[in-house]
Amino acid sequence: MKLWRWLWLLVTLGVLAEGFRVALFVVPPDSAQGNVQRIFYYHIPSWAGMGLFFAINLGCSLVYLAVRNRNEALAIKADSLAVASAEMGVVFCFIGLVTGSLWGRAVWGIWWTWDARLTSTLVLWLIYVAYLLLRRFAAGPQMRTLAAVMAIFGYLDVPLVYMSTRWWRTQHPAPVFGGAPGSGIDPSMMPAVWWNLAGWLMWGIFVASLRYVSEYRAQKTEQAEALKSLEFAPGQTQMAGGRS
Amino acid sequence: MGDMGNRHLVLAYAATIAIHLVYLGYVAMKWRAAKSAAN
Repeated sequence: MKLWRWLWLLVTLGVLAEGFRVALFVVPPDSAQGNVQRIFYYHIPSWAGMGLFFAINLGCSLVYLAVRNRNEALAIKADSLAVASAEMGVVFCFIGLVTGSLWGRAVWGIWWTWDARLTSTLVLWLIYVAYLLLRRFAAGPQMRTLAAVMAIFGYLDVPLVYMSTRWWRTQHPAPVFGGAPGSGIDPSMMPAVWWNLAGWLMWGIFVASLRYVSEYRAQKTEQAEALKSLEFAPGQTQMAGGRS
Repeated sequence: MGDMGNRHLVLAYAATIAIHLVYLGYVAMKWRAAKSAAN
């Protein structure tokens, strides 16, 4: 691993440790919910991470579809980053669902309810799990194209998830940030939001970059082996320029 | 809510860290596999 990655990891762990300290020991407890509201400081970064990495996946899928027949090197890079970002997004989405469920149990008395926000988020998670399963089990040259198209359709659920608490009445609370006038949290709680948002996004970028490198290496190796097997296939005759 | 809330808070933080570490393990496995295949 390169030096800058180690430095990035070191800074990330420092930010995460500070975020943990500020969230649990510095900012005041919520006046209505008490300490359990502190789940918010890990819940929000999960959704921010999910939004960021699914957006990267969408961008990379569009780039892949645009260049796959013209620029193979760029297509491999875009496709590798699409895989890495989809996996990272699925991880963040899963954490958001788990922390939300634990919070819901403590505050609402239920683990789950089929309201618009929770249901559309579960569907989003399932769409991207299906995307990863397609990539894992389908074979052949069309798999990457199919996956890219699926990613574009899958992303259509993201704005639906975001707007669900604005369009429908839900058990899930109204938006805290960017919601109606008067929404938001007390300024004394904001340091916990910022530290954890920064820390978990930096962590996501670190892990996704490692995953990108390994996927890129794997795809390059696969491509080299495919070319080699075409060049040295036993018993094959030369097709172009030969006299066989 | 009291004690139950605190228990859920601890579980939420522990689950977040655990899930990230499990995924990091998977990424490390993929990293090693890709590196050895390339050599």
